[in-house]
Amino acid sequence: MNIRENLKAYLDGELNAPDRAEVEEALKSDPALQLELQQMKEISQSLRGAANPVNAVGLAATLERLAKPRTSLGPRWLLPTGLAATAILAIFGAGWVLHSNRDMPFQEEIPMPMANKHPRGSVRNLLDRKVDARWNLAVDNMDPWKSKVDSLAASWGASVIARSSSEAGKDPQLIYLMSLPTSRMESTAAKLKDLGATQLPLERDRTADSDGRESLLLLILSLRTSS
Amino acid sequence: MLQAIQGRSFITESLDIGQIARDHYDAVFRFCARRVGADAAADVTQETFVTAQRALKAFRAGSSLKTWLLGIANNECRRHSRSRRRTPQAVDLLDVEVPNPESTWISTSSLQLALKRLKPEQLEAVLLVELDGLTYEEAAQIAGVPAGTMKSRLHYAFLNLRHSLKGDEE
Repeated sequence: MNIRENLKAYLDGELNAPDRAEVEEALKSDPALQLELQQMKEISQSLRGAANPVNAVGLAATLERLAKPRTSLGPRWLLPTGLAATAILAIFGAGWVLHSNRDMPFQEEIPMPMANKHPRGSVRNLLDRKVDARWNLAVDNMDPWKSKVDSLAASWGASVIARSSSEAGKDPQLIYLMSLPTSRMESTAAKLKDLGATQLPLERDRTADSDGRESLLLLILSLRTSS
Repeated sequence: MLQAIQGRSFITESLDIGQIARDHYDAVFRFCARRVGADAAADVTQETFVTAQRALKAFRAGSSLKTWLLGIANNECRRHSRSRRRTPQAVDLLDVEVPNPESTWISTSSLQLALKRLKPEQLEAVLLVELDGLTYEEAAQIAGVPAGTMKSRLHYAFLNLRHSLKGDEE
């Protein structure tokens, strides 16, 4: 290593003992090197001495922002969970719902009671579950049921995070992931029960926003297609 | 083992973002002001702590909280500069009214000019070590380069500063 290349590091006390000793030895007998070191020192002093003074402002505003709840849709921690659920629903659909036959006529009234045979679980469980890729991912062909569920969700004060559907099986299903105020969870659950929907309340009571606590709800509406 | 437990305890106690902001706000603000200017520094500093709040769980015990925060601040400053197409060279780093009593051959205005002639990576090295007061290792972590590269950048930065200043003197 060239001694000169170590000169700045020597000045900053950043050399190991052998390299430091080597520079010190060279300095003893090299006036040009001594001058170079002195000039580096003066540049460093000039830089540090003339640095524009900075008065920090804005701490109070930052603390205020850090103390605020971080999301309008729900807590920020829900976002990756919601996105994970969205992804799993959007890419694969949920694996335990029914199979086949998209042309089957739907019954006019939605949703008709179905046996609640789906396990409760968290989004993590959904991600771990084997899924069936043969699902129809579109919900556009699920009208008028999609529009009705959207309208119901709005009346519950719920925010729809993701939708999916099953075209397969005897009785098609609509799958919704939504968040809603926890205070409305029980009344909503009662309405859902009346409607015959399978509902999986997920990750409840974890945070608060201006409306109170938020819950995440995975809703599976089974649409009876035959009487 | 005891050290690990103590380290964990320290980290746990430190993971209050409000306290972290109170402890490190000034240092992060100064860091940002030197890169994006004093006018934008408050906004960029706030974004730094909001990002830190989001990423707090990723902070690893044994790391330096200050270095971690300044690394986030560095990214926020780069993002801000990209959006405003502003480079650190555009920020006046030195107070040209301040004379240097230690040196007769360096004027602050010529030093300011010499800084603006440096390559961006050399200026970054000077900022990190000379003005932010970081060690080579800390500066290297923030810049995302090996410590040897940081040492080399500083060497060439000072070589160029000397040449610029001696040229101005002549």
